[in-house]
Amino acid sequence: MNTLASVLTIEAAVFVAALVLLVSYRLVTGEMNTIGLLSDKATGEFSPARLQLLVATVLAAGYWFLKVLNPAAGNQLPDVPQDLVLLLGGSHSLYLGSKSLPLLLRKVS
Amino acid sequence: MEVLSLVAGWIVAVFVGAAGALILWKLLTNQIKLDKLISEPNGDASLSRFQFLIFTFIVGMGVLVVTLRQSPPAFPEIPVGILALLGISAGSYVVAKGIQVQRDTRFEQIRSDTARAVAEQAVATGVAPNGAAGVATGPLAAVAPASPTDAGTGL
Repeated sequence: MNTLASVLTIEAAVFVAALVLLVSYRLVTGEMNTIGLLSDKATGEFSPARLQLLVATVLAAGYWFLKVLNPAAGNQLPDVPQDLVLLLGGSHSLYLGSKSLPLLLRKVS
Repeated sequence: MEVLSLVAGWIVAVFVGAAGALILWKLLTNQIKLDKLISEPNGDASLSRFQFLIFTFIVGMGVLVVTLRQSPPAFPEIPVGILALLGISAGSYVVAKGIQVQRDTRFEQIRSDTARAVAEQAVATGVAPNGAAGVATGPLAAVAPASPTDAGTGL
């Protein structure tokens, strides 16, 4: 039974690792469409709000994964710190605010 | 009974392995295309889809690492904080979609109002609208996209 569990674990590990590598490779080589990722959809111009959201997301994800890799985490997934949740919440609020600002300005004028 | 569960377990292991290998093979040979994995229907890349992709991979790899760390391997409990993180991401996506739809609707309304005003003015003065109907000018141009296709639906 231990052999069976090991085989299933290896299968899952190989599949997830291969998927991550494949998608990352396609992203880096440009085979996956990333045009307009940081552009405002209405104006087509570069959007700083999108950039800060992307940076916050990558930083938060990287920080949490480093906590997972730390052996001190033990056999449990580490919880996400409250500060990190607040940071991401604030980042999303900023992004949504910048997105809805033209709409609000039009209603005022 | 133990033999039966062992046989069933091996059948599942072989099936899962074969399915995983097939999916990876099709991905490698481009039979399953990934080029529009994070794209919206209008062709633009979507930040929220990209964000979901990052979180999915990170959480997936985290679960895998913790599972492999245990002996025997066991599925770990998912903390509430991770669900909150994914909830923020999904909630933001939905709100952004709402804003986008509202903005598109408003632009369309502004455009049709402008077109009607130009047409009425043309009728009143007896001058042809000179092809200006439907184009946002002045303060409207600052927020209205030049064409309906510019108002994409992507986040």
